Amino acid sequence: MTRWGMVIDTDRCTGCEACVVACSAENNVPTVGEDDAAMGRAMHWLRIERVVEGEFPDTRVRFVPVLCQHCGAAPCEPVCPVYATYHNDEGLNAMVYSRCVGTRFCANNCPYTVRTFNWRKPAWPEPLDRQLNPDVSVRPAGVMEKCTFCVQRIHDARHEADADERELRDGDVSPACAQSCPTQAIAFGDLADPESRVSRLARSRRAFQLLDDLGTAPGVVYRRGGLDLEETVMGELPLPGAADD
Amino acid sequence: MHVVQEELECTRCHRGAAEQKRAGLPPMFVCVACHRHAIPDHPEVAKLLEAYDAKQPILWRKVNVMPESAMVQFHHGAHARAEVACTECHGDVPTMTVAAPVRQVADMSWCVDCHREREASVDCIACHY
Amino acid sequence: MPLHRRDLFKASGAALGVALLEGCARPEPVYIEQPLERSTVPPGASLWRTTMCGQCEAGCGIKVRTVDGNAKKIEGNREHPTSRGGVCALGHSALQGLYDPDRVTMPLRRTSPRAAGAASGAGAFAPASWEEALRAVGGAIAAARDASPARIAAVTGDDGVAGAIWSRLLLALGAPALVLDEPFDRLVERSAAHRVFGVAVAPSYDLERADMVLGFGAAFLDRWRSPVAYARALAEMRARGGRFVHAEPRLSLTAAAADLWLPVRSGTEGVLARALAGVVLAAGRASEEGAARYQQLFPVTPPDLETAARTCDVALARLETTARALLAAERPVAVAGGAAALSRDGLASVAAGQALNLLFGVVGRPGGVTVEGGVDWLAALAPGAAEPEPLAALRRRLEAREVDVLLVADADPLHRAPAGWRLDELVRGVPLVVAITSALDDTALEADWVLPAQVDLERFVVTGAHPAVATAGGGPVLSVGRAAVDPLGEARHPAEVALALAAGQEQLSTPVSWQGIQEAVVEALGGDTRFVASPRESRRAIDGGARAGFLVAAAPAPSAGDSSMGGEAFREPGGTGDDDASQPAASLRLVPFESIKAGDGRGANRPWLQELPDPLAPVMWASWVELSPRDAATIGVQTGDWVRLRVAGSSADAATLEMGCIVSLSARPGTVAAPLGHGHHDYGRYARGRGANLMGLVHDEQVEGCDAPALLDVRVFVERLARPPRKLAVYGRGLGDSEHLPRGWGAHESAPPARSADTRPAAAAPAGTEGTEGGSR
Repeated sequence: MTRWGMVIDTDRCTGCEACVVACSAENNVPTVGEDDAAMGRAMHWLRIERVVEGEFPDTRVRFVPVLCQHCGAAPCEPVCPVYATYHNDEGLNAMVYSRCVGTRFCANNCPYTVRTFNWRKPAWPEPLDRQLNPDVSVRPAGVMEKCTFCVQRIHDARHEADADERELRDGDVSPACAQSCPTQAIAFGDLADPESRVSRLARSRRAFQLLDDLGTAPGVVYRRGGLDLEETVMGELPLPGAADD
Repeated sequence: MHVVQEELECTRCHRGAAEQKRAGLPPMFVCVACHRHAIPDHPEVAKLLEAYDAKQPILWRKVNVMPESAMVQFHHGAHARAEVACTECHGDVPTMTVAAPVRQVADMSWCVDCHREREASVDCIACHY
Repeated sequence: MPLHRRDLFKASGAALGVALLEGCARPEPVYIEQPLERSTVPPGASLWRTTMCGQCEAGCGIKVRTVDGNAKKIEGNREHPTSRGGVCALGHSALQGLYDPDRVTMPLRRTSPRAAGAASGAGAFAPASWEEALRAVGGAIAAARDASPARIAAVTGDDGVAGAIWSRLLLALGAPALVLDEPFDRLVERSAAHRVFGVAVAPSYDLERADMVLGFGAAFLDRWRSPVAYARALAEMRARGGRFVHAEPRLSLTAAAADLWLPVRSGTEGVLARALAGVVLAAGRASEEGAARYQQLFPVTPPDLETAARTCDVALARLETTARALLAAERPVAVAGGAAALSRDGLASVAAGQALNLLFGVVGRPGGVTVEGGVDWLAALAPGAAEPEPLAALRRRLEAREVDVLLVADADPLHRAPAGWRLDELVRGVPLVVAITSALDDTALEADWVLPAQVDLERFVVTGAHPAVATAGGGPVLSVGRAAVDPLGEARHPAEVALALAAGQEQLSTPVSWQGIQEAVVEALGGDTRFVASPRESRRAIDGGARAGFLVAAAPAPSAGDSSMGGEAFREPGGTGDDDASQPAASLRLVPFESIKAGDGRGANRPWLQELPDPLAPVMWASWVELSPRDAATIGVQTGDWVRLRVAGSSADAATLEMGCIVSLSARPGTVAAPLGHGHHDYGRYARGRGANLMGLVHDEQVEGCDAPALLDVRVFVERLARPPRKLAVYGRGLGDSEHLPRGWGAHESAPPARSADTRPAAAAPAGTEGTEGGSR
């Protein structure tokens, strides 16, 4: 059985946010405007979280793309009174818009704060609506939404494989964020297959998971960054030449 | 009418039916290609030819509608591949003069029963996403 | 009995449920439009069109998903040799530029007079036909030709085919050279490269095969040249153990990605580059030829690291670490530009950075620097035409009242020029102004005619004179592609407007008569043996290129530059930018930068980018300043406040700008960093009045020896706005604390200090210093 998962290499992430826009374009994620954004109602399914250490001039900034972690033991699921969010057989934390009644209990219970709520009917004034992806439902007001691991692309890849009468191969499915990443910091695939690219990348000393002590069993694995130049052997090399003279 | 009298395959005009997400309407060009010669004087056909010559697209009332509020992503080609016969959902279109819906698509139990029968996925996000 | 969660729904929604079902029973009729003609794909099916992203000069390879003729999504073309499947935020957002609800889709004629303060947006215009527009504009050109063709001016931001076609038109009319509205830092880079490498082309860099990258101001992961290709190359270099040290006043995305950031004072990058050159020379690591050539350009003995540490205000230990890493590297490469280019010392600074590559011996080598241009469109399509002039040339012509007809295509000089140039007033004095643009930008608001331009997704596109990155193969890559969608409304390609205007003129001295842009491309490419063996094969090559999305030069790259050419020596970069002790007290040094959100301003009409929280200062829908905690405390502001910026030393009625405030731990005390590209007067509903245009604070500061404004030599006063115009939208989602992040990842940026007396430093910084006490660690 497939267990869809993602590996994000924070050492390769430059914080360019191409993935964030790619996600919005793929998934009809609405923009809410300044007033609502100021109230914390921006709808991004994916955010670049920055981790800042130290004050000038010793500041280090690292970027962590944070999206729905598709937890194996998802805190959002048991609190939904209408089963609008549940776990499917392939490890996806599913969100069924037509079931959602908007209690927002799930968002309240998500430790990663990746669920967003449609406070208003989204608007795409003509001809902006011509860009909308016909393969993803436009969510009405009063409905919760979040990253789906681009489930429509998973289905598409499967339809294509079915048409070719073959099994899905590793790399057939690429969510919008992974597709657009200039540094290929994001990998997607089947964590249940030990030979898949994500499984190989996840078997690393550099691997970690966000808030893993909460026991959420996330489906997203991160790889932490390397060492600072000053901490490496480079910094201990003798310095010949002008400066020493 | 097209199907019975002229023995036309559905997919001859609905090109996407077998493979694509949407079966699709044929372009007016396709209708006109035959109807310039076949019953061009029929009042409805005349309307078509007139509109085509004026480069005016025709608005058709959709017969089989998946309500937007269901937030369902229906893939026509996937159902065709699963060898669901056209008539199972669309009724006996070959004998209809005016196409009419035979099924209330908003009735989800009808979908689910069939999925169960054919051991297709009944995962919510197989359709709702 | 435990309450089943569905029971809750049943109980609360029973009555409502009935009403909902009632609604479902009688659905609204749905209509679908029957297409007229047969298309290549069935209705509703996806058609992926391979083409090139035209959002910046980089020319990344993209595939555009279209359904029923509408563009749905942009994805990277994995086969493309430089962008390799990547796309940036600006590139993705091209879709919203295409479908901007306030796009200009038909010709507009001005109906109310142009006057100061009369910029009233679309209301000042009435729709017209192309025929009327071309007749009016063509008539004015004909009249100007009869009187004095020198009074015709054309400006474009396109240095490729379209630019060459405009040049050809100007040549045929007998008018002066085209004005090229190019990035100011690129202008400085080209000038420096002309003397350092003997070629006036902005260099491109093979970061992937280097083992150490030294950055001098060039924020190549943010919005400089080709962020997508450079990000990928840098990631591959670092994965193989390569090192990256970056010097820039602001902690940009590029600085954040560096192994070591050298937070230099603005305008001192050149001193740093010179000191590192000293290290390389002293270690005998440079070839004789390279050293000789270098010393010809910089005859003075380089400063030592200690001097550089003092001038740059960076800890000596960091410079020593950099020097050690540099000497340990086998294939280092120096990348200079961006912030380093735009201070008074910019030309010498950038040259000092570029010239390091002479010492490293990596010019024209794998893992080094290439100064090979793309197709020379100008020479091929407008032989005999003068080289395009910088934007400052337009200013001079306008000041001398030498322009009667001003044609602006694919450029927004009124948004990008410093306010001190007073281009808006000067343009108001021009009898006929024509803007060919897809949106009502600042220039269009002053135009008599606004003509609808196709956006890149509607055009046949090909990279300009600057293919941004050399490939691993060494040769330049020409990205090329056909239109992904049909144009909206009556939009036309600006170059085709040039051709139409030419067709309307009688007795041109040289014909300007290609059938279309693609024909011009075929002709130009036919003369470039790097891409096609003979002119006859040009059309086929272009067809093949347009299918693949790119053409790679087959012939080996010629050796870069003419090193025998005696480049004139540069003045020693001295970091003169901020040594003036007479600077007004309490003023801060402005550090303008191009953000991933707005770039140079073109991204401002896209809600995706407006609502994108900047990765370093997560503001949405507004522009902002970044202040150090110390300066913020002195001024009495915290994150979320609004501030007013006023040019230091100017009179009280000088322009002021209002922006949001972000207190940033990475900000250099004594500086105020802020993004360019905001503050459009119109540019559609999503951009109108959003943020402030920093160019409003720039007066006559100029890069020495170069026609570019010294944006980093501006000092401003920052004060808190007592009455904020509205709540600043700061993206607030986050994990909150770092407890669960891996060890060594430190705390999240802490909340700014409370505005209370005891958190303020005892005194403000001494006047005129950047004030980090020598940057000691």
